[in-house]
Amino acid sequence: MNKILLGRYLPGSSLIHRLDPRAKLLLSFYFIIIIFLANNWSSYFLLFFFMALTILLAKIKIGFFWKGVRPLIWLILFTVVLQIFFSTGGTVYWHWGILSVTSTGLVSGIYVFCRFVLIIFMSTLLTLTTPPLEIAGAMESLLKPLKKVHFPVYEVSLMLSIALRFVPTLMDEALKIMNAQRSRGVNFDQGSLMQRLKAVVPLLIPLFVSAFNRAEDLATAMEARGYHGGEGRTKYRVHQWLYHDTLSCLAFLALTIGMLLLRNW
Amino acid sequence: MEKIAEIKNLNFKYSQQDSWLFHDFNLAINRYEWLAIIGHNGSGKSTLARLIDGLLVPQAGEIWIDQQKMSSENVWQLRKKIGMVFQNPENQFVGANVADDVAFGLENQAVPYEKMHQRVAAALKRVNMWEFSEQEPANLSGGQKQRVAIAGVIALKPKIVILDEATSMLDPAGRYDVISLIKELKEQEGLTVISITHDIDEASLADRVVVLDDGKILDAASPANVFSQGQTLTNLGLDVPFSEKVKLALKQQDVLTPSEYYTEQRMVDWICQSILKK
Amino acid sequence: MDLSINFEKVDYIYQPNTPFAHQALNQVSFSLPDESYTAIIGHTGSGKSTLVQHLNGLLKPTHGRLMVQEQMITPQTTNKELSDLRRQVGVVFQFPEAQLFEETVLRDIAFAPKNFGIDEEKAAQLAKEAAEAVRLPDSVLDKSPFELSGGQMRRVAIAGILVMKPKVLVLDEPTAGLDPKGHQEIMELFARLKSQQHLTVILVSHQMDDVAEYADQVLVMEQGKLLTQQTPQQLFSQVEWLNKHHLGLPHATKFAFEIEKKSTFKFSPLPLTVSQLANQLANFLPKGVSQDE
Repeated sequence: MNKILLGRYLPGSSLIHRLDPRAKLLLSFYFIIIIFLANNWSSYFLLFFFMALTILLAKIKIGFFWKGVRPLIWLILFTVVLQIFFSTGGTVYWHWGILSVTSTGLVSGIYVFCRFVLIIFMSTLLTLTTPPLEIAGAMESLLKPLKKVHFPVYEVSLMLSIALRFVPTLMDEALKIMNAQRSRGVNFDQGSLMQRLKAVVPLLIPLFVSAFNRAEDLATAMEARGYHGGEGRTKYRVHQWLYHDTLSCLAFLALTIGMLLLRNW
Repeated sequence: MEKIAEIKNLNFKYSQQDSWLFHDFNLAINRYEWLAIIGHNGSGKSTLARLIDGLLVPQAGEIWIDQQKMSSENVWQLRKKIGMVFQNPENQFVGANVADDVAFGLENQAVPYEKMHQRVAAALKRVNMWEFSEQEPANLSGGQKQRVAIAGVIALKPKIVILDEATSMLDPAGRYDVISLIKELKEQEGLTVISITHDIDEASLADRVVVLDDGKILDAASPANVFSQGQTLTNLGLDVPFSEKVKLALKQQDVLTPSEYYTEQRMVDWICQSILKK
Repeated sequence: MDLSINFEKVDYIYQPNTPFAHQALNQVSFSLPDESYTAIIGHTGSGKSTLVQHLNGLLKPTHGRLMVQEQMITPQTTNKELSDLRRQVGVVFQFPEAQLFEETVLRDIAFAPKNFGIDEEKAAQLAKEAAEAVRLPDSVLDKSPFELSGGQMRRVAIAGILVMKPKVLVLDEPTAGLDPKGHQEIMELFARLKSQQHLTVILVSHQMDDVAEYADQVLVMEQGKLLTQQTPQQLFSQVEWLNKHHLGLPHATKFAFEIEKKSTFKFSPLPLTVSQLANQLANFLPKGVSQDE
């Protein structure tokens, strides 16, 4: 019932869904980096145009993306406000002590807002079109070279994928415990800071107990199914780098060139 | 009869316990048998299942699986012959989606890619869950998750399947679903089934019922034999088959009831005939 | 008779106006008298749990309104107004032992009264009474709740609700996961408390035998809608209707139908429990003491 967007995969068969998760992971990171190349209206316009194109290709409603922005909206607005009040240069519209609203401030405030939106949209796109397990698998695959320095790549990625797998389970559990404690008179959203902190104890202890019990069950079940470490296992999901993966890399290359051309040097 | 599993003079206790949970415990399980182990919570049923699978190590005694004595060297080998379905559907779901979960055991056994995909598909089709293969556990009911767990077990082609209260957290529909699936699979795949259960309907499907109380076998006989001692079962905190409940209620009304165990169908027939006679 | 609970066209929509919007309750209206024992049945996802969460104001209707113990709940009701309702309506959730967290059993049971402003000493006194009501031995009161057996943990959790002395007791599959003996003891406990403390009881259950044995009326939910409100007697005589909605019969009723099918015997009224079944059959069966005794 309580759908938290982070790590919520929307099954589908669009081009974006079918991309190699390694490509998606790398390109999403890459996109976030080149956002910082943008420093004028036209380069931001290009980024949004590119973003809109990928969203269209993924065939996912824009509403899902705004849901990703919402939980962070206060952080974003705070940063934007800081940007607006503390930037100097350009025409001064308003001034009080060290605070001032200038044309440069307004513009950079809008830029900051755009950056946040783009970053959240791209990471939301990644998690909406890629099952958590594939993200974990892609990370494992990309981290493989670290095996040479005895980094437990396989174990870390299994840990990650199990953690992701149990996020919805524990969210549901937390909700159930909250309901049970609210029924026993706990107020999670009223009272002083101290009272609120105290109210968290009856939620956290049962949640930990439950998580430990689940972990124990899970460990037993894994052992019963023959899991004894990452060595010598085969993989059910093997990633295949296909034509459209190369194509999407080329699209990003084109984007980069466009950004470099449009950018003010 | 040929034994598929044998427990000989087993002693076991958990580290925090003072006295033995199992003391000089013996039990033999026949090949192709359906064995039900019943007992109240805390009677040692689940511990026994974990001992058979080598998940717990006894302090003394021997466990034989398929003519081999279990040791720390061959436990992983022997475990391949045993599939376990646990109580909580959520907590044994390792994979991020249905197909991945079924594949988990195959990955552990290093089954090659092509073969693994065949076996995952075959197992999921076998339990009627193939159309759900890309679904995440959050979107499945408890009964569906247990069917996935069963698919994960049969994909590994075990000889023994242990159901550790596998139906106790399901609603009646899910319970019926899982039991009939196991019944079918047992015949078709030639399995030996050990079902640890409270559910008397599940136990009545067994060839043999073992009644366990505080680590001791109180009775080991056919369901008919065990169920005919309704009062003993009730005293142990166990359920009795519905036909026995009817019999007990009739007895309290001074009705002359048959002394042997009747299945529900037979009880209905007996009542109908007796009504006619009177 | 006074009404304890009254729903008027209650809708509940999860995450309205989002892509995830989901209507869990759809125009649900019913009323339950004081001191009634009502069973709510329906499949997983039929809206039972959502309905239950309205009873003590954990959820508020999206549209419509409801009255519980003279407290009106509308979409506009504030949480503050509901604090007193939480005391009057005790909810035992599925696997309620998940709520245990205190160092000792007694402190855990006393948690609710303390939240409602009752002083430590009085709360401990109430907790002792509640522990007694659920038949917890004195020896466990100072133990950690996590050391107890599953059945005992369940009792501690139930005591933690009863300690509020609620007028309405809501039970969401209270015996799930217990063994048959534990199941029976807990169900009998609720029946006893109901008559001693004049409670209104609402039981969410899949077990038709319990519905038949204890409830005096049944609400049937399907896909967020209330299909019907009837007595168990009425409901379980409509075999075809139940089949159509994939709902089961009490074991005794199924057994009675089998007998009717194979003989000319007609039950009247339809038996819902084993004892009702035996009562009607006894006079038509041979009497005497069986040979084995």
